[in-house]
Amino acid sequence: MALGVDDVPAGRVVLKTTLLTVGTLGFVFCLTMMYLSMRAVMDVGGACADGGAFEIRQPCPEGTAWIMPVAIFGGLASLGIGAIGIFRQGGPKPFAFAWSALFLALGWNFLEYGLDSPGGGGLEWGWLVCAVVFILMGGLPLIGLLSPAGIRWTLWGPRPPEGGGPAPPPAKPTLRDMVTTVRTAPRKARASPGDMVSQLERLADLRDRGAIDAGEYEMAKDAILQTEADR
Amino acid sequence: MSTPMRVILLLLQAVAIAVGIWLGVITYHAVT
Repeated sequence: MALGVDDVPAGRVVLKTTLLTVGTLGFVFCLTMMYLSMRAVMDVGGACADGGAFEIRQPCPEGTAWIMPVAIFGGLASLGIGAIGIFRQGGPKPFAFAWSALFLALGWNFLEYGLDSPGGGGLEWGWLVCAVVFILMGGLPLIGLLSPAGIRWTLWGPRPPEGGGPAPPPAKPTLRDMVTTVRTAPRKARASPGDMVSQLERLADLRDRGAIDAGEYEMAKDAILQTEADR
Repeated sequence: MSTPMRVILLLLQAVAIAVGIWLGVITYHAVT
């Protein structure tokens, strides 16, 4: 364990943490810029134009023509950067909330301006329909994400193994297991001397890999030879 | 992953969200 993350070197923990945090900051920054730009456009009626060869009836508020595309692509890039920083060992996954954050933020603008349109015209049904659609799109996934299991998955990650340490390695087969395996193998499977040789070879391989020691090897070998002699 | 590391990561994300909103607001008003 290095810096609290199993099997991940300290340098990599720092790098991933930085990417995760920068990704979150970048996404929220871009979403804030988009939210404010959208409000500026809605203040002038919800539609505007900028540049081109045509006569423009409603020019865009200053800056919004470039802020919106930059915020959209910047937000997507931030999601990618942050996704690299997510630890598979656990910890927060803030981007699970990105979809809901986007649609609820923009849906709020539609709702606020739809209930009290800038021109003083009262309800603006077109924007209210958008508000309902956006709030449903952003809110429905949030129901699952804010459930106890969802919160655990998004903010905490998988539960560490009991005892807090890394998962124990798979149990080494005991000598009894190996002998039992040899003895209970189908007779057809050990009918020929070639099979006995392959069993002895497998046993030697286990010894060479350190799975069993020399004493266990000898006892298992004797068991195989004895079984062969009994046939 | 240890519990202190999870808490540190959570706090960092909370700070990142707050700083992201603050930076977004001041940047928007600076460029418009």
